[in-house]
Amino acid sequence: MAPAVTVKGLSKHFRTKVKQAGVAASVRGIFRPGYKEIDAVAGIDFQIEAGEILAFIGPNGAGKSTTIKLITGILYPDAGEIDVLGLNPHRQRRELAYRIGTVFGQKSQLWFHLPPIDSFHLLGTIYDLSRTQTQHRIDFLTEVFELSEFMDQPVRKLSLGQRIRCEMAGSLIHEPEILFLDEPSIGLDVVVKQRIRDLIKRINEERGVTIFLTSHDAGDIEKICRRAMVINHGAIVWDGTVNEMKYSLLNQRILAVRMDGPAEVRTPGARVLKRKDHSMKIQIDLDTTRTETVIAELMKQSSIEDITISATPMEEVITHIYESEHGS
Amino acid sequence: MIARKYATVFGIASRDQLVYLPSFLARNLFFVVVMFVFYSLWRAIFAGNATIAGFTMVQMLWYLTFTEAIELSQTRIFLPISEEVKDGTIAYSLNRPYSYVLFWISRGMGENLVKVLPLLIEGFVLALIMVGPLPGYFRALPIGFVTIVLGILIGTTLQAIIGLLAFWFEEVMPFWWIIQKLVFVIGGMFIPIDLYPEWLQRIARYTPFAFAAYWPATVFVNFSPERVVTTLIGQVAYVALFGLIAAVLFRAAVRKLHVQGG
Amino acid sequence: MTAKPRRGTGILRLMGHYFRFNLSANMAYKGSFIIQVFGMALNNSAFIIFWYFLFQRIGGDIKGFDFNDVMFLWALAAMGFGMSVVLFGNTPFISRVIYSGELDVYLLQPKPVLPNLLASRMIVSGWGDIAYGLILFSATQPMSLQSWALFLLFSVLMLLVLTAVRTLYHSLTFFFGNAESFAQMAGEMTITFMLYPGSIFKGAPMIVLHSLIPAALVGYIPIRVFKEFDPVLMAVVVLADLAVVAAAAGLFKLGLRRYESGNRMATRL
Repeated sequence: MAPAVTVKGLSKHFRTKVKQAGVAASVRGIFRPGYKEIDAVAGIDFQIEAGEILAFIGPNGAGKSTTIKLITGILYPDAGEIDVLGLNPHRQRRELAYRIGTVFGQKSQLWFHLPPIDSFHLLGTIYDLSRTQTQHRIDFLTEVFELSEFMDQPVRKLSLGQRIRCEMAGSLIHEPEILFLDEPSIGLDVVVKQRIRDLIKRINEERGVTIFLTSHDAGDIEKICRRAMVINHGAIVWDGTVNEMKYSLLNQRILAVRMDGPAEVRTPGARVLKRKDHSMKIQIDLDTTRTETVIAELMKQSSIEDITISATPMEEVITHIYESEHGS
Repeated sequence: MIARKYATVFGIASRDQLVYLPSFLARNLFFVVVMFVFYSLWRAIFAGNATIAGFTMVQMLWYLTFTEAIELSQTRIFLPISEEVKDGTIAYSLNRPYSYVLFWISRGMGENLVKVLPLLIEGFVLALIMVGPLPGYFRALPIGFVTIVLGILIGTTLQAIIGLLAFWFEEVMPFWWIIQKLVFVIGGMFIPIDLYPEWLQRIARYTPFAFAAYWPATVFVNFSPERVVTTLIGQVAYVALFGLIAAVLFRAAVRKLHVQGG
Repeated sequence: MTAKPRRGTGILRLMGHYFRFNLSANMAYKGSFIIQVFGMALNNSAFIIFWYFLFQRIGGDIKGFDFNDVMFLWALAAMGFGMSVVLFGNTPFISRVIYSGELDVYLLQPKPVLPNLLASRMIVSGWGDIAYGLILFSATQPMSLQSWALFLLFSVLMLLVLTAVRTLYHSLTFFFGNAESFAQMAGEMTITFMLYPGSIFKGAPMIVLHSLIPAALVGYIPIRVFKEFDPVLMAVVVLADLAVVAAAAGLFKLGLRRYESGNRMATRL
């Protein structure tokens, strides 16, 4: 199967105006503005296979949005090649638009003051669907995303969760082959987040839609994606499966124990994070020691009433990635 | 001192204006263009006539620099007021230690004065180049400037009223259009009302719209102590009247707000 | 189940949809709709009074323009302006759409960016201008097939040129930061200049009115053709108007390459 997206040596820099303080300086700035060059994306390469669900992560300003915008044809690249579904995004922008869908949290394609149904019909026209085709798609998406109860209410009256569901449904009206989601779960509560995740998975599994997802949310990445790609300072700094990321990148385990008597941990590589009465949370660095060494040490001192071993939370893995790249 | 807080609002608003350099340039360029259009038009009309309705070409052009400067310096304070009314943020201002109406009028006037000064200077230069000096300009200037400020204040007070009308009307923009156009026509913004037929002059002469444009401009081009007195009396009376109406409207609006539990 | 998109039936169908869509959305607020339409018509009428009394006072004409000629210009300007904000109501907001990054939405849709962007909004008060233009024309101009045909044609040209002038200046936002004030002014100046007898201007300003602020191309020349039909002049003015449209579309397209899709609120120019 041909890859859905291929990117080679992609670069984009921006010139930003440097604002000076003071009236005199701002007057001068109008005629001779100072500029600063920023490499938003600095020569990246990657490939996405059709049918994949990919998490694209990185701190704010790392180049995530710029990359998505380059792939979807919003921005013109300075250098490099992009191939999306066999098309060149900026030269064949319109052809590509028929085949991709996007949900950009900040930039809605729904009319704020009108009910979603109106926006959906308009989107049908935008994507050259006939009225009947549009109606079929709306019926289908209404069912999948459970929109019927608020289909006739103005978008501004919907909750954030309802609105995101509508945005997603809207982005799927023309049956795109790739769906780009930029921070889809931002600001949502746990229950709604889970629902959105289920929907994304369902679209991927049942329709074979390739999913390209950016998120800061550890849960999004862990629960939906098989592969993750990390970008920082405009460069891809990590690319692999989510499992690898979790278990090998930050090679640690968290051990939570409740003992029936006092106990100390002295094994090198083990560190007590939290302690209350006889309960402890211990971080174990697997490059230095092994989990069973620590357990054996504890059992020598007292008996264990309860124990759980877990991998480092995704949250911390991501923080680790962001921070470790900071110095380089 | 109560006056001090409004003076501060006024001062901040006037400094704020300096930030908006692009709209400053746009406004002043527009003023130059409009004056050029008027100059071209009246040059064609005056060809062969010394005076029209008692106005010389010199007086006509100078007159228009004043009325245009007044018009272009009007900050649209009715827009933020009507927005605050509609989205309910006006409720927050109720427990603040100042009068809502006076706050907006001071703020509007602060911006207006920063706008009108450069326009008057430009008008001076433009008229000088186009038609030459206006006899008696400097004698009329001190009191004339006061009447111009009062003329702008009439417009600003009217705007406060329009903004508050948002409590009762969904769309207040048309009120602004109508008031603005009344100033254009009845107020003598485009032509001195002396050019109108007798019956219309009689209607127009003592309207608030004339005191917002025609009267202050004629204080400059047709200076006389009687004219100054008439102008000042009319302007002060209308400012007081509209200020009162705005205050009454605001009270009625606040009652409405309480009833609705706003 | 791949719905076969009927590609290329295109932008006209979309514009039709936007039109119905925006009209019905605005009709939902009937009171506001009616107030705005009537308010605008009333608003414009103020200027009839000004010109009427001015002509009455001076008698005759101003450099070959009588009261009815000025009214023709007003009818034409109102029609062209009204149609431009009804059909392309997003034109005044182009700069904002660019610097707020909202242009993304249009770039992600499979339609030509500029018409899609322009047509997606309707400014309701434009209906008042259209009504005003039609009434004013009927009341002051000769009732013949030819005069109506010319009037409608010139209205369409005015619609295109006014939209183009604003687009042209708004497109500077791509290159220099927010050009909103300048674009707004260019639009206003085009209208202002076309509302006065063209014959009162001469020299360098006349050149500007044929180029940077093309008021002569939508007012002064059309009224000459209207009063005395001249096929050559007619052809020239149509071509010149289309050139303005092409320049605007070209600059916008060039600007898209520079688009940065920012979220910043405003670095004003």
